[in-house]
Amino acid sequence: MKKFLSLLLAGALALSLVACGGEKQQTNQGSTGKSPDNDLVVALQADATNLDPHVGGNGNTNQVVNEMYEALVAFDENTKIIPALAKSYTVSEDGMSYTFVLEEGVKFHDGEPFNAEAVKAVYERGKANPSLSLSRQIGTKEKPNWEDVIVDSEYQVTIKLVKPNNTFINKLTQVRMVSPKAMAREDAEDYLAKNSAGTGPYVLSERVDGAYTKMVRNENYWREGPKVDSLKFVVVPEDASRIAMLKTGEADFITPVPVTDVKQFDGSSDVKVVDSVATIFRYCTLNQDYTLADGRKPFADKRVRQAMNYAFDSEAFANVVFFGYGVEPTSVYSEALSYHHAMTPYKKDLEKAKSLMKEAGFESGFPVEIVVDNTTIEQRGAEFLKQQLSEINIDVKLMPNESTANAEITSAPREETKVQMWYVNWSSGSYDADGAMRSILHSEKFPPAGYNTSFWKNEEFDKLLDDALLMSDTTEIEKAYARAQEIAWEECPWIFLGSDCNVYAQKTYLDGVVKFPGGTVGFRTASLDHE
Amino acid sequence: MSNKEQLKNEELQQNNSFDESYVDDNIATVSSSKFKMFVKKFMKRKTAVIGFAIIVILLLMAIFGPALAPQDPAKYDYSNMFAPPSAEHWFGTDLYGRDIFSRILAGAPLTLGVALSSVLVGTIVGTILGLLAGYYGGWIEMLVMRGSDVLFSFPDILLAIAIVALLGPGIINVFIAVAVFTVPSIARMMRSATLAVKGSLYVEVAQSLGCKDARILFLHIFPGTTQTLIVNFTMRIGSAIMAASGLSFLGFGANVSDPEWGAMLSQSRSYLSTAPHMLYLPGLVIFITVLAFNLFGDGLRDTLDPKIK
Repeated sequence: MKKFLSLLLAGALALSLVACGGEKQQTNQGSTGKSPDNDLVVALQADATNLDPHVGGNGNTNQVVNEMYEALVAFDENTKIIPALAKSYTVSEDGMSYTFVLEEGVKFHDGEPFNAEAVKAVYERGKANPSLSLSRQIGTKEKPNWEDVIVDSEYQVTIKLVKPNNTFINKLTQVRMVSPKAMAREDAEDYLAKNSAGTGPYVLSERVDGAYTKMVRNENYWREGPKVDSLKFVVVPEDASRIAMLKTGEADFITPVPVTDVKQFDGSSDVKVVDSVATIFRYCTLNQDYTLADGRKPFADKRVRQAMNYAFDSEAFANVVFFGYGVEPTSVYSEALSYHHAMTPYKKDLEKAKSLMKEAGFESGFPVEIVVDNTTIEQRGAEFLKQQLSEINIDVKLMPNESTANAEITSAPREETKVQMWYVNWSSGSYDADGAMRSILHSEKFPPAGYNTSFWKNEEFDKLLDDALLMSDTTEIEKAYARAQEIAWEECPWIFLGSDCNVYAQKTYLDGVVKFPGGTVGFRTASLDHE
Repeated sequence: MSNKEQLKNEELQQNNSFDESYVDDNIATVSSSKFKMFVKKFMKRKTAVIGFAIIVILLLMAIFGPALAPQDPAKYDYSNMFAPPSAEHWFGTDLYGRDIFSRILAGAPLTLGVALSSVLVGTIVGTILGLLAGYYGGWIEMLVMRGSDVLFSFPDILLAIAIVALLGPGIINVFIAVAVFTVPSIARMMRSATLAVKGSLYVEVAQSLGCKDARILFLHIFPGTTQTLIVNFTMRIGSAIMAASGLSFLGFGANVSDPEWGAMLSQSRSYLSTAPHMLYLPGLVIFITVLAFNLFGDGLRDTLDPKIK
């Protein structure tokens, strides 16, 4: 009976929580306990693929590398650009050159000084070696993004662009500064895989591939640094093991925590669950060419598309599929990204949905297939969507498949595509508005060029996106993107599903952890309340 | 051949067929009393009888289950998700608040249907191949047996996954996959049974009387192998249910919306620590079903094998 009650309570709790971010904690008040030592242990799901900060890799790579390396600018918790190694920057009138004033007296882990020459050296490395992910930011020889890097003085540097691009500053957060001496080595890549040569708050001390990466505090750090002695990232692929490690105190912080397992912390008084809005946006495309047996095209009619959005209960979606760790959509991309423009959500209104369907002549519904990845969470969401659409008589059939197989199905060109609906999600790598929309909504991005499998084309929208990319004035950019989002929101090329949350859990005696967009966290100011 | 001789031959054949129908009748009467003997012997094996009873209940469930389901198996209720078993929901509710008991009933025809029909098809094909291989020998035997060896070199479930990966997911392809991996074991078993019966005196007699091969194979040899066949057939059903559920569990089988038992397990596995009833109850049903078929198969073997008394 007790278990029954607790399950009921947990259910009620899950239903009452929608929206993530902030300090929504399932903490039980009481003793907080103290850490037995001053060594911070973080359990990750997967290993960093490479510690050379210019090689690139998955989210875990960023998580680990960001503790040792820094860029000129960085994101704060709200995806705003904040100064890092550059104190300030100015943009030229034409949006073609950015001038940075650098922090003085900063030293790399190997003792080399950080200055304008170092910035130029990073640029030279990327230019010489197109296989590095660095070239995604600075461009390749054939298709450069950066024209040049000019050393104005020891602590001032100017980056010249080939053409204006408002995403430049976002992408600059990924251009990490590395000691020129280390980059000049013959075996630079090998060296950087085993040693750190950045300016970050932690210095690499020990790494075992696939097992752990250990760092110690950078004693010569240039600003307020960590209070813990060391930071160790341990690779623990099994969800249950990570949870057990946190409970026993073997780990002080674990990420990610599957939403289905959050309940396991009920009753652990020294654990708190923390979350933040993910940069991922979930949606379901509606192929406007989809033709029924009788020749009618339901998704070519805006009323049908809107009706589907009114029939879909995004609040329940967050509760049922993400146990409350989800956010109702208010635009076509996650609110964790730049220039997000919040609009009135499509609240569930079955009457309105039904009348729109009736107006469009689809009162009795139609059959349709949804392409979806065969992972548990994706299928759970698609099944929910199916239930919702059944209320306006749309008979949905799920077509679950391997993600690689789906990638092939969905990249077919317009004339050949068999995709009717595609349950999918999208995230912009550098958290900019252009990246969040262009590949999936711009009419130049019909497959195979992109992922606009709705085959939605709106000239005004396209033009707003193209114009905004070349702007450098933030208020103008904001205006253009807001208008573009309004158009897409009104036109409903998709069913807007929402964003979920990144969920972490930590010991209550750990403090000073900063959440970043994209699900990574920062331990620069971390401290442990220890004995 | 002279006319006279031909006439004589035809006469012989006529006589022959007459004789045979006479013999068949005799066999029929013998086998009806044999059947009574069998039932008597079978009833003594309690576990087998229990297995049989469960199978009968399961088959009834598969036929009438969907109609008996207390609630609509697709009806979702977001205010009552993950509810543990109660008077209203005997087996509790699942991740969308659907009634698990109703879903198990509604899924019975799907789960059992796929297992039974795929084993049946696999057995028919395997029997024909095994009979041919055993009777003719030579290159046919070579082809069938080496083909079986190739299929045997993969574990069943791996072979099934390979087939489904090739054909794409879906319940029809699961049916094909399970049928395909049933074929080699039945073919091999039938071949050896055929070889044993082939040497019997009555087969030699039939051959010397000039019976057609098809007649000898299906009327004389096949009946001699049925005991082994029935036992194997029953035992295979258990593993077919496991395989079909396994494939659905891995996401290769039934559509996730369908209440197939394996698919239900697959959907529930993330909730093992928070809502275990979602996993245990459908799992228990699969367990009981497979156990019932295995007990029944064991009982049949014990009863039919003259060496075991």
